[in-house]
Amino acid sequence: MSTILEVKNVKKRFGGIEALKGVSIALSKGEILGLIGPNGAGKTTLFNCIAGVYHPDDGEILFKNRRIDMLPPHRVAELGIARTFQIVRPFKTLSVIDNVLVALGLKNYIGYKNLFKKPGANDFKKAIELLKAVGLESKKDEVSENLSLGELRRLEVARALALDPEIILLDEPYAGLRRHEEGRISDMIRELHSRGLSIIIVEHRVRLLMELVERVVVLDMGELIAEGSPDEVRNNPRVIKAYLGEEEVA
Amino acid sequence: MNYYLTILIYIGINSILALSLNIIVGYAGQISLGHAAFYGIGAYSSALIATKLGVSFWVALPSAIVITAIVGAILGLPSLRVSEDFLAITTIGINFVVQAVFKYVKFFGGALGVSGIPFPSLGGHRFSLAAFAVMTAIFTVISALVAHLINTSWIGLGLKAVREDELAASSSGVNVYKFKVLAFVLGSALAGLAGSLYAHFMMFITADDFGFPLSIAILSMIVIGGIGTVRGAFLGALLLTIMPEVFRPLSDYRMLVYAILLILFMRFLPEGLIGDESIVWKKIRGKA
Repeated sequence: MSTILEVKNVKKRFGGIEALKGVSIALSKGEILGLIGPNGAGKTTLFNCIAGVYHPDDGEILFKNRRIDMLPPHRVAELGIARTFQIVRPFKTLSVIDNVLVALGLKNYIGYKNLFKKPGANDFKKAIELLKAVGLESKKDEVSENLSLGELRRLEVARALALDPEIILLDEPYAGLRRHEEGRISDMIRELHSRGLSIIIVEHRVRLLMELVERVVVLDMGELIAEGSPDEVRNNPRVIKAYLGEEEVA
Repeated sequence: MNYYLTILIYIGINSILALSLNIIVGYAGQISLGHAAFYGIGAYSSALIATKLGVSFWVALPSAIVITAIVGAILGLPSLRVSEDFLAITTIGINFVVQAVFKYVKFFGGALGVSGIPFPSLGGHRFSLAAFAVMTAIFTVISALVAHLINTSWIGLGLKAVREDELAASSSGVNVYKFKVLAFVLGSALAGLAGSLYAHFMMFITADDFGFPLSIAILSMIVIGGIGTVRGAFLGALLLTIMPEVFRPLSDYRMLVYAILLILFMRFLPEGLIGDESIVWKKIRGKA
């Protein structure tokens, strides 16, 4: 399989704290990669570097062999890397369908030619298809701030998919969810995978990633400390040490 | 009759002002407490072009719109660096600075203001008051159509995304910097139109016409009507223009009344009288 995303020796510091101390990972086309680590390991910082929110102090990030580490977030989104947020960030006062339409407008925000055009019937059709895919079709006219946390997470996935991305970065998609909602998110991720999307999932509980991913990379204190199948990683002494203080790794 | 026509013209000009501020504050969510500055820049541009270059209203008006839009883009740049409370304070500062420049720089007429601004005429005939009212109405309708177009097109979606969450907007492909500057350019252009109409209607302007209290009055209009909606901007402009006329004794306390109304609405009716989520509008739409 060919590599679609390559993070090479990325370093990022905030004041005196070195959040990433030279991290390298590669994502193959069509792969689901788990990115785990204890709180404060640098997982979200790495996501933010890939998504263009932060620019690394050192190192490179390549998407399809093209450097993207100096691009702003909207350029990264245009190229085909979409993301969700650990703490959901819906466009609160907009309707559910408008939340998705914002991202569907991606190409129209470039230049000035299409800025004053209205979303067409085709755009609404696409938005509804995306909402169907995440099971939110019936809530399309609801103001998004009225949705539950589980629904908002699915809305964020629909919004990310509206960018028609090749890579989707999911930042703790399970955080704060009940058991039955966790299953729903897993089903959705499998569905994304079957469409050929390359996915990176940040999660700090390995258990949830067990049946989803083939490969897991472990980050601790800004460093990559282990890599392998979920089983290998779970039994790795360094990983156990990193998680020490928690009852179980799984 | 002339009295009513004059009120009508004021309502039109104030509606354009409210619509223009609505683009910046309502759609893009960039709080601006200095909108009178843009109104003033439009008025002074038009007045000075007409008096110093001796051109007609029909040349001065579009020039004023373009100049105000350009200045708006420049004065909108702080919104890229600061937001919310800090942007509010910055825009208040802009208002005072612009007003002081008009007042103390000789080129702008100083404390005497600009007088002798030509009343519009067409084919050598000076406009009647009724003609001016009709023209103002036409410009008001055009402004409303522009605001409606912005509200319902891709640019409106992008602006509202920026208003709701800048990080999520940029992750959805919206260039936040570009959209913020666009909001200021479009809002300022309409404010420039309103300013030009005002200058050529009054035929005499001074810096005191464009002070901070007016900025608050314009903000009050959109808050009371229903922020982020075209109909709300109209209703707010209508109410706040008529109110001091109907309640003549209150006229001296106008600023006090505006401020109290602003506070009460922010606290109890943040959606305004007919905003999208207001009780009244939901009733009208049969959703409540």
